[in-house]
Amino acid sequence: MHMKKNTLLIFLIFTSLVTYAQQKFTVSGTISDSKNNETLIGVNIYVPNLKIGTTTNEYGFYSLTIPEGEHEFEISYVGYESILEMIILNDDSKNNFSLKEIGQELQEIVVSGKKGRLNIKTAEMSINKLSITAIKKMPVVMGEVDILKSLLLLPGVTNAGDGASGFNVRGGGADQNLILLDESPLFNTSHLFGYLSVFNPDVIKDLKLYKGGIPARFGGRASSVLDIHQKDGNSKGFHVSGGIGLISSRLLVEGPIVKDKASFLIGGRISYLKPLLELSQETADTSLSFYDLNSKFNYKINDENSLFLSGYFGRDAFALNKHFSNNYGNTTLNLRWNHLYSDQLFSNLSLVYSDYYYRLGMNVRKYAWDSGIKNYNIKYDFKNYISDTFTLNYGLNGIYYDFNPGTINGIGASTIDFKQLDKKYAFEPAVYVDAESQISEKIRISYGLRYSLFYRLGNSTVNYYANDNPVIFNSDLQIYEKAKPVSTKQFGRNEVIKNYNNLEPRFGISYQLNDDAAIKANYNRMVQYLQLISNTTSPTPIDIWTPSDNYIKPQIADQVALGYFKNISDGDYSVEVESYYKKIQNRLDYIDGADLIANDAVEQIILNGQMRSYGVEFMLKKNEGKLNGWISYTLSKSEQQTPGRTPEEIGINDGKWYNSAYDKTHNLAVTTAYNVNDKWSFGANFILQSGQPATYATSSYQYGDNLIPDYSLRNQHRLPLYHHLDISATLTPRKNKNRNWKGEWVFSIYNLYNRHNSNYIEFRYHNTYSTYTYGIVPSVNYNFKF
Amino acid sequence: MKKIFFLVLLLTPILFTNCTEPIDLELDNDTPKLVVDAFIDWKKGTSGEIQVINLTRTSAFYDKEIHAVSGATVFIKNSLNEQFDFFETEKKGKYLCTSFKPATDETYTLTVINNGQTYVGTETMTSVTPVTRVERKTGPVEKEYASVEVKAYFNDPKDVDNFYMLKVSPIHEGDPSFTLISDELFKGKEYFNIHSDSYYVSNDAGSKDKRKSESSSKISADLFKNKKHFNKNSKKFFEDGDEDENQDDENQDDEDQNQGPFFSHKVTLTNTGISERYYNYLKKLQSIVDNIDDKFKAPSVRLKGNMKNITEKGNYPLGYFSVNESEEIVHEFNIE
Repeated sequence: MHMKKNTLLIFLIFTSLVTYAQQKFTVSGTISDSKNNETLIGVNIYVPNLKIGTTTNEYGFYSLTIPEGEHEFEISYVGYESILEMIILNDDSKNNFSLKEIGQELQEIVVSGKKGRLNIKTAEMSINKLSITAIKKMPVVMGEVDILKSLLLLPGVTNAGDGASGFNVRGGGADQNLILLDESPLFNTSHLFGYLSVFNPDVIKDLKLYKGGIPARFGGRASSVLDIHQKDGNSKGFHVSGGIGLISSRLLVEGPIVKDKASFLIGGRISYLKPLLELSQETADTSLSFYDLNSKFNYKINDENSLFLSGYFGRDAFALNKHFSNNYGNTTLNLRWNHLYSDQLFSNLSLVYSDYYYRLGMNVRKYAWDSGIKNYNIKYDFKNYISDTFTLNYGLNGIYYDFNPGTINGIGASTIDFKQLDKKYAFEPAVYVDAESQISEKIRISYGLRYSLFYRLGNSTVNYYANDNPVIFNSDLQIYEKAKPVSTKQFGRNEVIKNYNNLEPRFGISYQLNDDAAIKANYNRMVQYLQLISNTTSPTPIDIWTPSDNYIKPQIADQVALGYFKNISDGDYSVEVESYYKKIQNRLDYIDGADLIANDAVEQIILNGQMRSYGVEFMLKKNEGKLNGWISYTLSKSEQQTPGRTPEEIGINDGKWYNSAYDKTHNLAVTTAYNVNDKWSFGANFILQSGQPATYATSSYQYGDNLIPDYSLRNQHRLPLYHHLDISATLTPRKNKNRNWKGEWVFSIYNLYNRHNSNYIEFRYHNTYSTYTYGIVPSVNYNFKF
Repeated sequence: MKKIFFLVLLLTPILFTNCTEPIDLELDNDTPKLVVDAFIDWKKGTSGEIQVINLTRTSAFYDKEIHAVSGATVFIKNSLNEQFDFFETEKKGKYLCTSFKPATDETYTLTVINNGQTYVGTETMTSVTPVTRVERKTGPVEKEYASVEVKAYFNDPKDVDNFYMLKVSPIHEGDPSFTLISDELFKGKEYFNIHSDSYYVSNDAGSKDKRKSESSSKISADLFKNKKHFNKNSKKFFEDGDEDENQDDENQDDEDQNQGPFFSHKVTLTNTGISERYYNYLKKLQSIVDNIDDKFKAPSVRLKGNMKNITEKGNYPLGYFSVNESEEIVHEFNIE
């Protein structure tokens, strides 16, 4: 074993850092929920007398190498009762722990602290975790629990307004978020055009949002990583849970296949909007629906090996009369193998397939348009717990992409030509190494490096332009115009058209001021090789992703952040203050009036620019007591600049910095939960934000039959202030206690004081109109489990 | 439980329809710009000698008045340097020429001189592909509605990129006044301009022609906006009665109907051949004018045309100078 370990270390050139000064042994194991054997992610394992600790990884595994002797272990996790256990260590040992969830009935007498304590010991920062139990109690529109919408209550996270899909992290675009569902990347996360996200809250175990300080094992997006894990399924007993809402219902079945060894989980949601739409004259001809299915199987072969197979399948369907139909959705399938090479070396191998599909049927004009992205992903990650002060993560990753920007097919007797927009292929491999090290009692650092490569591959045709310039500036008319290709070249299958490679350093440091406070700093570079071709303010299902190529360069983001973290009253309260500065090179913007749909030569409508954002985030949390929750406030700026390429060109907005569509100067969010007793609990959310940047028309004129509004420069104005207050009440009938069937009513009112938050201003016939999505929305949901 | 069902009913309309309401905004005033509305159109079968150019100024957004630009010098020259002068008519800002010589593929330059500034623009006359046949369909009257469809077919020429502006009249206020088509998807094939709709055809005295309620939700409307090739004038209907001034005409129609056929209507389909640059301009214009929802729409921007100011470069005019050939098909249908 030693031999093998050393070879690995030499290979990684980290040998010098390893010392074996005294007799040490390794304690390792998994930590799970006592009720259903679900492994728990991010559980704190702390040995107070040594002041040493660690946390469980994404698979609930931990490993700690400490000197021999008798040690007290403190195991704590949000929402669970803490465990104190004495372990006498005279050999390597396997210790699996199960934690008990704090039940409703216990809530009043909870004394075991540390439940929401900030982890001030690691160098980790700019990360937010949300517990699914907390998310489920938040008041939401139509009572449809939505994990993406709950992110908006966090500092540094905003979105493009009510009913918009996606979210913006620290002034970044929604396309700059890497969203992983059980390690499968998702390209579109919305149902019903953004009203709801694709994540079924019942099947989600844990989610973690990295706004900065992104570990080297993640890459490929410039702004953030949202790492979502599905539950494994109850391996102790067979259970059904579900919920009935106003627009959709959910059902989840889970249970053991082989007790304590193998389990399954199948969860589904289905909407029933059709009868509702028929009620209104205006929408009677419309049909709108979605469904999704999550499934997971896992098999614990032995203590060293576990297998997981998980899948997601979701579809949205929309049709209008007989004229028009639209279907879209994701499919993901992934197989993972956890293997322990030793009690200090954990590994996970993932094979992922993910597919996004989009179809538009134009039944009158007799054609259909199909597009999509397929990707095949292999990931091999290692976590080596070398000593109590040193952990090494390393691994490799390769993704093969197959983009179909559009296939146009005639339907029935049609004169429409078959047309295939040029398919695009790319391969994105990466290797990384990341170390977490405790340098002194007070200082911990993490440092890593990711080396990413990108190959744009054939089979594809590449356009060449005069002077290599696909966008021409017409100085006569002062506008940008598409250039016509002077020649094209056909690249054969897997022939490299263009390649890029980048080193992405990551660094984090924490300095512990005392037992309750720390300052932390980090830097990360992220490279994004895929671009979302969209100039709307929030992503839409129709948006097309395109790989970097000769003309579109990868976005390169550099971010630094500095933060102060403090636990008050032994973790009853916690305070986090962070400031950040982020700069992104090669951020695209579009020439005025760019036509993005079915565009086969996107390079003709884009200009290369840059982006920067900076801000201060503040979060005060009350973790304990009947009343808990948090206040978050962010003061920030997000700007873009697209200068002319020559002095005579005007660029965008005369080449000056302008507000990006995600610039929100002020962002205040308050969320609270109040647990009155085991029967009633209440929740409230309040959000107040600066209006989103917008472009207004300031004058108008007549041309032909049209009255044309004359717009000013891009994003020079701002929509009115955005705010709403939402409340909810959860009723758990007392008779539940002693029976299997447990029901729960959630009543909520979204936008209590009926604020008409403007999404958009229309300029028509000398009048200005504001469009808003939600007025006051009361709703009721029923959830059950047995 | 009853209450819950009541809530379901109550909430349904809220969910998928965005609501729109007037809002007062303070908008700063920009310096007015010259607007050149020069749509030089040669209708097949006419001499094309009479052409009109309108000159106006931009006005503050809430200002309903159209500010005519009077006293300008306006002329067009062709490639042979022949000059066609436009003279201001009694209506201020309207300039008329009675001696224009249209020729397809001929290049024309428009010059406008106003307030000491000279504006010029150049465009080549684009020909239009002729209509080869017209097809009409009248559906049976169902539940007091009759469906009608008129299609004007043309054979798109191969080897050339063609751009069309299709118009159907009458149109309903709020609907786009034209549709744009590029031949990308039907190059060298037969294609058509279409008018189709359902009309309310009731015998009741005093009844008005009404649109069949086949309106779409907001979401759907947005999708249409984004669909490059969805160019159907299908949801046209006539005389919606939105404006008071139309009321009289409608009543007139009703009287006519009582005497003649049950229902009679005249539809004009116009195909115009346009240049690629004008096509691009009009596409942008459409996206600005069809200003509906945020989610599927690109941000609106200033629409720049093909006229430039040669005296003071930065002070460019708005509007467009286009020179096109067009063909009109008039169709009258009667439903007994």
